[in-house]
Amino acid sequence: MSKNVQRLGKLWLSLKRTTLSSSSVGRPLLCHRSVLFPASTQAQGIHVNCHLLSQNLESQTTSKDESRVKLFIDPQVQTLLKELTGKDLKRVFRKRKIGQKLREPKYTFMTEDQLKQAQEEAEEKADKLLQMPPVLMPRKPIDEVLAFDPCIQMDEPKPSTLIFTDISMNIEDRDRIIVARDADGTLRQATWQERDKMNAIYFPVKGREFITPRMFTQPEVLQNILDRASEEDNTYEFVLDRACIQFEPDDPAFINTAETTYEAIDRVGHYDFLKSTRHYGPMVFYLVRTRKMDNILMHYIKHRRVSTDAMRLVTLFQIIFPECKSKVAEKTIEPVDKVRRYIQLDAIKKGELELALNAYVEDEERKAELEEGLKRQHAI
Amino acid sequence: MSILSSALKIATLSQKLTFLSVSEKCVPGFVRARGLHSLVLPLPKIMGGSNLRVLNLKSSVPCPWYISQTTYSTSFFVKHTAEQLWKGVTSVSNAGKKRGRGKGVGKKTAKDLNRGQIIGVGKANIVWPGLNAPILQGKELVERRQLAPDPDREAKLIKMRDTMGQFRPLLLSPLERGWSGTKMHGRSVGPPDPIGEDNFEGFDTKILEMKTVANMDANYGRIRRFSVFAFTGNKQGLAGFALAKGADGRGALKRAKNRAGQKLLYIERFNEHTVLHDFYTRFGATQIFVFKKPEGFGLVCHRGIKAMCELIGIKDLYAKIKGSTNLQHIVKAFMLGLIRQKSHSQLAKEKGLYLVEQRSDFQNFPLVLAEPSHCRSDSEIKYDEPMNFSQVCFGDQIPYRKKPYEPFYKKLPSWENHLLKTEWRRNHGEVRRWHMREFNGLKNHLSSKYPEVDATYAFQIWQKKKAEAAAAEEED
Repeated sequence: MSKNVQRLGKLWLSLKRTTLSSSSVGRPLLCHRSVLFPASTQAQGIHVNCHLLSQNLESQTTSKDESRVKLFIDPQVQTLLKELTGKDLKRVFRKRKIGQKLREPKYTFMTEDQLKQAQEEAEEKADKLLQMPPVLMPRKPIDEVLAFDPCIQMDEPKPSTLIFTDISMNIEDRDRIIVARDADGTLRQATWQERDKMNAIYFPVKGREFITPRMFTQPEVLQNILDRASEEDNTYEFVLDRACIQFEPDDPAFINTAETTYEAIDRVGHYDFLKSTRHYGPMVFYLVRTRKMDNILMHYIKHRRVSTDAMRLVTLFQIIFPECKSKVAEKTIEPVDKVRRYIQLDAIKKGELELALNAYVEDEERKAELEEGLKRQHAI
Repeated sequence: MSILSSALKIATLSQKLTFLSVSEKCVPGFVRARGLHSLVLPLPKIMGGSNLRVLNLKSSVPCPWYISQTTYSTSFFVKHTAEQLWKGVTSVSNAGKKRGRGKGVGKKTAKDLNRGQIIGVGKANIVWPGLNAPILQGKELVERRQLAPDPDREAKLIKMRDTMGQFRPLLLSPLERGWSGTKMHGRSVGPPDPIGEDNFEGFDTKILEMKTVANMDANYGRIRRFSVFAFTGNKQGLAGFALAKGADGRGALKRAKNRAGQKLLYIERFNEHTVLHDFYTRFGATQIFVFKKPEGFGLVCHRGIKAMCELIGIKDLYAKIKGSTNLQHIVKAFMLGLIRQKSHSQLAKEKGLYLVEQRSDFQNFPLVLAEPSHCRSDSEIKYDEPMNFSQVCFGDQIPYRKKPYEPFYKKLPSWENHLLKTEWRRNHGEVRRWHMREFNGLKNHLSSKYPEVDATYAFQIWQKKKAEAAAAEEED
């Protein structure tokens, strides 16, 4: 940011001296009066909402929470999340309704080598498709005044804010210089909502809409969509994918939408709808981070995934909460024991989980006995 | 002339004159013939020079001495029987039939007004002993008497007449009506008749062809018969077809249907919706190129092939016929092609290579459909070996693909001109739809402050007024 500020200083000087269109930096600079945008009223409203939201979130989160969120990029956490996500190619490449016309399938005769290569390419593609969207803290509001010049105060019939955007290519949207001159003569860095709007005008992203879709601005619309969720429609994935396109990952609106969706999933236990998608990892991470993992643990136990998924979940919990009671130094602990230890010491729904685990263990024992008996009989 | 005018004057004065006839035979003066009086007047030379006979047909009225009456006992209506007259009104003559008269939608059918009418029963509800009631009831003589009037009688009669001679809509729905008009082509006639315990569940038969055929005989001359070509199937891959002839249409139809049920073949389908692969097939001069298509494509082909596919259970396919479109040949060619399809494993085995499917809706994931027992390596494949799957399936035939049609005007310089002219509004439709979707009406940057500039302002006011009026009405 400091670099940008330096650049801006120069720019500003040049602006003062010369006309708007020819800056000494040699970049085309465009200026906009925000009042010129007819459609902006609604969009501004949305951003104000987001702003309020971010403030709320900020007040809730603590520095501890921030450090936990940062753990998302920890390699150990990433591996655990990827293992939990799974890579069922049939699910990764499942049928999607993306509004395109169906083309006839392509049939090819392949030698062994060609087939192997095609499969490897598919694996790579699957990895790409399963790349998790980053989990970040909500971005901090920009509040930086660069200069104050009362000489150029505007008292026209309509005082308005002028926004200056550097529209030269090969600059990331985040690094782009965008400044605003208020009517009272203050030159400041543009706010996030102003930046988003300018970027959307000059550098539109395919699939990102200029006016935020109603499902992200009106909670009841989103709730309505989530209430009608079904596996064949990929509802949760649709919502999360759309949020990924529409917002930056640290946009409070994105974080809010994602978390609402995760909670909706948690409420009805539709965890497996997201299995083998890029959103499964962030969902599990959110549930563990906010200590709401008991339901999903129950789900794993009921689906007999104790030694695999349940154990990974408990491991993840112990990484994120290193101060927890159930953490033991020794590594050679049985998966069932590890899960039981977590249930006894750290779980919130202790009783239910214990019962489910006991039932699972009993069931396993009975199964083992039966198998042994069968083996013995066959041997005779 | 004076005599004529005086005679006419007399006639009009008496108001009994109904008929004037001109005859030359009569002599002027008063004539009394067959008990009727008539007045014969001489006409002047200018009017033809014949005599005028004035007569009064109303014989019941006492005739004055100067006018006599005559009646004609024969007329068109008296000469023919009622049946003949009725036929003359309702039917078309033989000669007319040959010219094709009396057919079609605008045909007016006569109503038989006698239907529902009984002798002795009328408007006045009267008991006539001997006519509509017995003469004796027990030992008592039945007397003629009037009953209370029946108010429903007239309505019943009218209702009965209304049902007569009116166009009756077909009972079949448009989907069941077949390919064309009242013909049997393409119509569904149900499953073949059960044989023993086998009652052809889930089967349906469609008539593909029904026509009259004839042969010449030394004794009987031209002998006409019905020829019916039927196709039956259970929509699960079982299907058969047969040709049957018979003197009557219904019998031939039944025979064709039942015979088709005896000649069933099983046809392999891909995922129960399309053919296994593209193929080329021919029978006689009929050549067909069949293309496998993705789900939801539908049946884009000749109507005969479409009917067959529906009965076999193929839902998506494109077929192009080259050459003769003789229906029987189309059916035979298509069935031969279907039977000769190769399974995926067979194709892989013959080629010695993996058969891999890549679908756009699965993001081109390579799905192995079939693997060979021994896979060849790259070096084993000859340089001129056809490797394209479609080419392998079509054999040595290459389907002709037409260029997409482009309207003639797109080549004209005026088209360029039009494009230039309309360029400024090329996106207006899209923007309009976007506005409707996002803001529920066309808006501009002043809309929020000055609603009267809104394009839908008048409509909004009208809606508001309407709502207010409705609310006021409810209150009342």
